[in-house]
Amino acid sequence: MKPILVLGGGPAGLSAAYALAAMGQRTILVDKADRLGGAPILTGYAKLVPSGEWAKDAIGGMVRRVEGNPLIEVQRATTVRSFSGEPGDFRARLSTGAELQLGAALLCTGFTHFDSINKPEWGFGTYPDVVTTAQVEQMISSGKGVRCPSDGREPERVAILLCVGSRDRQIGREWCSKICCTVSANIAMEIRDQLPKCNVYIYYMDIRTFGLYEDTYYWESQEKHKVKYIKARIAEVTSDGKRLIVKGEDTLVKRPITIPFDMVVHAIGMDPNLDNLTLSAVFDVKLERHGHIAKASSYTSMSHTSRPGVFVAGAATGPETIDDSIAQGQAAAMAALASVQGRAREAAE
Amino acid sequence: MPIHEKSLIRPENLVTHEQLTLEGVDVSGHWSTFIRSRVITDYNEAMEEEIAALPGGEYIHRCWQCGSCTNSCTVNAVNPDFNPRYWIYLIRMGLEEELLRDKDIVWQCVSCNKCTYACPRDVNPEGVMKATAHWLELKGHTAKKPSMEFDEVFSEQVFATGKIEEGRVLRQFFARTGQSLFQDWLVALVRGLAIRRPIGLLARLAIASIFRPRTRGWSRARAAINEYLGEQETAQRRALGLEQRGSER
Amino acid sequence: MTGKYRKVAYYPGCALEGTGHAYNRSTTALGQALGLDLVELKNWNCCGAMEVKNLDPKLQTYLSARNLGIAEKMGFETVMAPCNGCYHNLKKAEYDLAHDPASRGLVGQLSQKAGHAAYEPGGVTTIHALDWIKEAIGEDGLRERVKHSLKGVKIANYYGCMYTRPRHIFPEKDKGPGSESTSKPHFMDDLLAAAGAECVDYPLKTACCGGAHTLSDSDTSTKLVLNLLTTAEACGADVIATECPTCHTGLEMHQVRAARVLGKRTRVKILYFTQLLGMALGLSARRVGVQENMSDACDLFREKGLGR
Ligand SMILES: Cc1cc2nc3c(=O)[nH]c(=O)nc-3n(C[C@H](O)[C@H](O)[C@H](O)COP(=O)(O)OP(=O)(O)OC[C@H]3O[C@@H](n4cnc5c(N)ncnc54)[C@H](O)[C@@H]3O)c2cc1C
Ligand code: SF4
Ligand code: SF4
Ligand code: SF4
Ligand code: SF4
Repeated sequence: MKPILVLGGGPAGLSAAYALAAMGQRTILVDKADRLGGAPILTGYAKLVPSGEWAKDAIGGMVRRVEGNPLIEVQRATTVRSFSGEPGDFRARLSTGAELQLGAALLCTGFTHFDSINKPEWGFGTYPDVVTTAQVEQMISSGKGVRCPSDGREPERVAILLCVGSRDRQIGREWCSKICCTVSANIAMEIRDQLPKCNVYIYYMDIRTFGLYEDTYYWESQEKHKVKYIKARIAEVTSDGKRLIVKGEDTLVKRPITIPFDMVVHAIGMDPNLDNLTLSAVFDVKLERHGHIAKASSYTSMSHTSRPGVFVAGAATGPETIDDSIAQGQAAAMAALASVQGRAREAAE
Repeated sequence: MPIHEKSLIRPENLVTHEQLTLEGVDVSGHWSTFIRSRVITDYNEAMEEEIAALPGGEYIHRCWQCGSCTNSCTVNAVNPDFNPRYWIYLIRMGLEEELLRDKDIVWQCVSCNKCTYACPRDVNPEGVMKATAHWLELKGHTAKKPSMEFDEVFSEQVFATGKIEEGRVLRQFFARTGQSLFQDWLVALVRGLAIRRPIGLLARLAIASIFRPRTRGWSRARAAINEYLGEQETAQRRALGLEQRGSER
Repeated sequence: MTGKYRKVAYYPGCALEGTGHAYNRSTTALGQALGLDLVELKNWNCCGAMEVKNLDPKLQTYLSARNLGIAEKMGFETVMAPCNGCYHNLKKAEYDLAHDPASRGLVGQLSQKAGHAAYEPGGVTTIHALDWIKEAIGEDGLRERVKHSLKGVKIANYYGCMYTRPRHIFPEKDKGPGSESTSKPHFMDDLLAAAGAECVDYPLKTACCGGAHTLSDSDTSTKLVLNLLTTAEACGADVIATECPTCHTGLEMHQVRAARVLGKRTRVKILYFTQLLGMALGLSARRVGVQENMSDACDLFREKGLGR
């Protein structure tokens, strides 16, 4: 039987490839990065929500069981140039020049981090001590700890601004990125643990620590770690030359609040993968209106794209958590397998 | 008992009893400060739609009360009572009586568009301020504000001739608002100018007031604009439940 | 120098025929000195400034659409508007025509009744005088041509409200290196720095001067302007450079008013960026209309040897 292509080796792709191999299916895992693991590994996240495990251990484990698997052929630093044919009989050409015969394909190509440069009024790119959640994750995971980039000092007051690059018509991002509230609460608690003298303020419009994240992150951060939540969306980050100045309207008491901070963190959202237009053209799949890869249906065929034989999983479909991406990877593996085995059976009869 | 954020409570709703004993305990003076509970009965459910029917107010229903507008607002920085977010909430809820407390400052929006730049929902708060000021005037809650007089003087000239001449706008504006042209600072300003360039300035002012600048062949545009304005006015008065002009019995 | 903006349609607008006459003068003089052609729109109309939109934003769209249509009919791809109000309104009309069917409908209807073709979005591109010099001549081009460097002149660059807000009507801004920023604009800084000036870090570049209510709410405007002036002085600026007649006149008027009414005197001079650039290129102070400014900068010119 022809192998199945899994494009993208993040949590979704790693889970799909492993599931396929576990069912005895030959799989080719292609990723454009030179390492597997997707955003958690490539960006260097710290302790993951909700397990608290370090990303390099948790996702590293998923990478290892795929890299050692005889049924899985891994191609790093590679992309797909062309893709044609019918379900059960696809042909693909890779950037390496290799030609593949495939039974089906899974798009597990994930997302792109929002680039805060697109929100210039919030100071990123102007003030070195304005950073993103991705950068704070790196500070923590590298073991260096949370420090102000300008001079390496320990911050005494940190602001986290939620919804940066999400829920914002001004910049055409009309979705909620789902995970950043919880990730921010997680980071806030980590900062309070590491730097007990440092106060953390979270500026929010709504708190979306959905499901079981509610008490573990939102309540815990307030009750145990004394993280402060301010209901305000700020208009601008400025500086007095020494510290960053965050001015907002505290909407609950209807009055302005101006607080100096040592560090301002953007809780950046999940943009559609920048490659999606190319992927849509190469694989002839439709994108939904925000620019993610469209699912054929939410219920009866949720792993299907608009093209039969091509499936999708994880953050490629829209903002997703790691655990949901993993679950979707398995679901897509199942759907793809059913598709190629159905064909194989038809052909054998 | 101390009351936090006392500034948020209107003085008339704060009650203190000089002499009061409750269950045998003397709570006279500030120990008996109460906030009078206020039952709201003045919801005007039509208010949001009425303001949405006026130019600029179309997107008021999008607001989710994040506060970016107020936070960025130029006028709010000068006068904290000027609060677009809060007014939008009052309008959407129909709290007309509350809104009317601020009726005399809504017009002060300087159209800097800082709010519109910041607003994540594209409510166009600047437009909502204009629509609200308009609504207050149309409903008779406020007299015509100087900014509206200015807009009208200016626009009428544009509609009439296609162009404006600033001196004429200025004179008409001062006349309509009953102000003297010879305000101390304006006089100082013109005098300062005239000393340095007497001939050029005076000549140009004189020419402009004799030959009004105008766009050639504007009459058809003028007719079309006036017709449209008439239709708009009819539609707006209908949306606000006002009698049509000229329909008085 | 690129050929792109060598010859563009020119929309001066009403303010440049009145209080902003010095801006008109200096802009045309600068164009001539740089070998750039400005062809004035034939029989243009007022853009509606900040006023018509308060009665009806769609009418404002019509007024600008008519002007854009003229530029297109004259065979131009680009129209240059030095006034922020005009520039903003042309840009906004372009945006609304492309995105709002109701605006488009009204423009179609009024154009027909007025007896001219309805302008279709995408016909011409609107640029500001800053874009014009920046693209046609550029910093390097300016440096080569400077005769009297602005060296030693400390400038706070003031861009005002209409040049950057709201951002969606300026799709070409915030596009990374080389493009203009809506939160911290820098084109005027770049040009004046190329002419030798020292641009100070001015935090109120895009703050509001209250121009919309200059006369109807003078006290607020005076407060706002005074803040702009004192902050510029605190930043060490000798001059506030402007790129809009409404801002310029507002600053000048309320500088006088702050002194008369509030007793708050400020010394900082107010000059159009075109006047500063013109003098750097060797044009006389008279040629760039400095005598028409209310803000008297003669002592500064003497001190720095400018405009002779
Ligand atoms: C700051 C931050 C912190 C987060 N923390 C958590 C957390 O603690 N817990 C949690 O559940 N979620 C977290 N998330 C969300 C998490 O990152 C995603 O759920 C997860 O990465 C989605 O996995 P994925 O495999 O679908 O996509 P990705 O992780 O994005 O992986 C996609 C893979 O596809 C590859 N690829 C992309 N395009 C192509 C192409 N054209 N050709 C070939 N290969 C391609 C990429 O190189 C990448 O390896 C966080 C997100 C952010 C932004
Ligand atoms: S998860 Fe929270 S921070 Fe992220 S976009 Fe949604 S509401 Fe905003
Ligand atoms: S429990 Fe339901 S309603 Fe409440 S915040 Fe969560 S998702 Fe929203
Ligand atoms: S446009 Fe009006 S409401 Fe908006 S920020 Fe400016 S002054 Fe405030
Ligand atoms: S910024 Fe927009 S959404 Fe936020 S409170 Fe103001 S009008 Fe409402």
